[in-house]
Amino acid sequence: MQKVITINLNGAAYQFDEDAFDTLRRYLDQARLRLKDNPDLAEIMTDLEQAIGEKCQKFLGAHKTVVSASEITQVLDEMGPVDGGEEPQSTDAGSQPGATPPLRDGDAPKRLYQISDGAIISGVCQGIAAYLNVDATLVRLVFVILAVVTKGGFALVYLVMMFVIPEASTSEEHAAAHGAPFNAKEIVDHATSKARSVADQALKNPKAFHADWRKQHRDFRRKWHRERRAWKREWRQSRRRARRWWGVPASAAPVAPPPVGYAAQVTAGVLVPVLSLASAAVFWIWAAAMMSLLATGAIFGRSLPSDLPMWAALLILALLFNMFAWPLHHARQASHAALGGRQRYGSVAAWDGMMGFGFWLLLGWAAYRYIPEVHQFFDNLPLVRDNLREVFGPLRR
Amino acid sequence: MASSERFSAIRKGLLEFVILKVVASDKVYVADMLARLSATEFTTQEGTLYPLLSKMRREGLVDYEWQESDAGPPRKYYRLTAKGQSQLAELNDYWNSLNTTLGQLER
Repeated sequence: MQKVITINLNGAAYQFDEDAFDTLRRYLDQARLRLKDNPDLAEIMTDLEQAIGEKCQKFLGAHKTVVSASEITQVLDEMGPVDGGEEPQSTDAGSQPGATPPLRDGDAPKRLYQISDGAIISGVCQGIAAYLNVDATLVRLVFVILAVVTKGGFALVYLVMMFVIPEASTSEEHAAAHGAPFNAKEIVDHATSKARSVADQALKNPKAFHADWRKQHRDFRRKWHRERRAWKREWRQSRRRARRWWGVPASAAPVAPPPVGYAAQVTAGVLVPVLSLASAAVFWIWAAAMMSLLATGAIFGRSLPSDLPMWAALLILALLFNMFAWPLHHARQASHAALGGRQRYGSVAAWDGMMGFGFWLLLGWAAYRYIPEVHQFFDNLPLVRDNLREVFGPLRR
Repeated sequence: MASSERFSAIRKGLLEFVILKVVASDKVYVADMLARLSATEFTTQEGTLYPLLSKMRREGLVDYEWQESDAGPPRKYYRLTAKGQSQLAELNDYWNSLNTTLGQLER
């Protein structure tokens, strides 16, 4: 079974298998790249889309409405590689029409890249995930586990990879890295809002929480919502600017950087890697401390004061982490902005989202573990969910 | 097959000349051009033809007009411009002189 993607080829809608879509997108991306200096780029692309559409018609009928990967491969074989024109293309095994091997799924070279679009730290895990064709979350999980098992030693491996593996910046490099841009941000967003709704429900329990606390929470939530909305708008705008006809990743068409002095840019250029390293170091130290606390009840072999309960220790640890991480994030964000690194804004924000998510998760866990009312509430959660579904079910698209 | 591979550069150089000839004979749609050429040594594909036609149009050799088709959206029908016609005549002369030269060299 395959997901079907509806696309617009010069005004007519076609339905493509996911694989077929990827193949076509690669072909058109490559065509666009080769014709990038051609003044008639838009017109030729329209002609090509039209011709592809007509060729796809051959395969479609009343009972066959979706173009498959093998069919689009056949169509693109007929189309032939797009000729870039005068510029020497002799490197790719003779640019004679018909003699050049047609672009096929397996033909595109697959290379390991960092994919910064939607990355948590630098995009190493995303690049590896794209290369191995697995979920990026899985790779991240493996990295975190390995880092914990090796007592942080594996974090060094990540750092080395961060510097050694090149970053995918053009759409061709993105295609080489894998193809479809994987968007971790959406997952983080999704998880954050899910966790938040759970936390909301827990906090609505009037017995467990002081009214003052609730007000504080409401204010915070309002502020958070506002920030989130502004951030979403920003994200959508940058996406729109970057999008031509596909959802080209934002980094493929960088937004013009705001004018910044040369000295500021140099400073920012030095600061970004330093701050990134510091951020990563703080994160790994924190993660390792959490793990050691949960596993052994002591932080790096130093046991807790006897009158300090476990949940308080976890909370303090989280607060400490945020104390260090927040200024680092803001400094990093500012440096990115100075470099015109708008397209990487997403990764910084995603990191913040991830931290926020972790914080809520921790808070929820501590509440669940040590406050009986909350514990009770979580046990009743399936009931709450069913109720919510009844209320909100009709409202969803 | 081997010889056709080896002489691909010659065919590539001649493609514009060939297209001028095809377009000169009739108002043609890209699919017609491809069909006519597919029976010859000059088999080509959309990926090559569209960029070439757009280049020739920029140079003022060919032009197109939209015509309704019974199946699907309107199509671009190409024809030669005056400049294209004189270019074709020039190329024909040049080709003949090349042939003469080649014939003389054999002796």
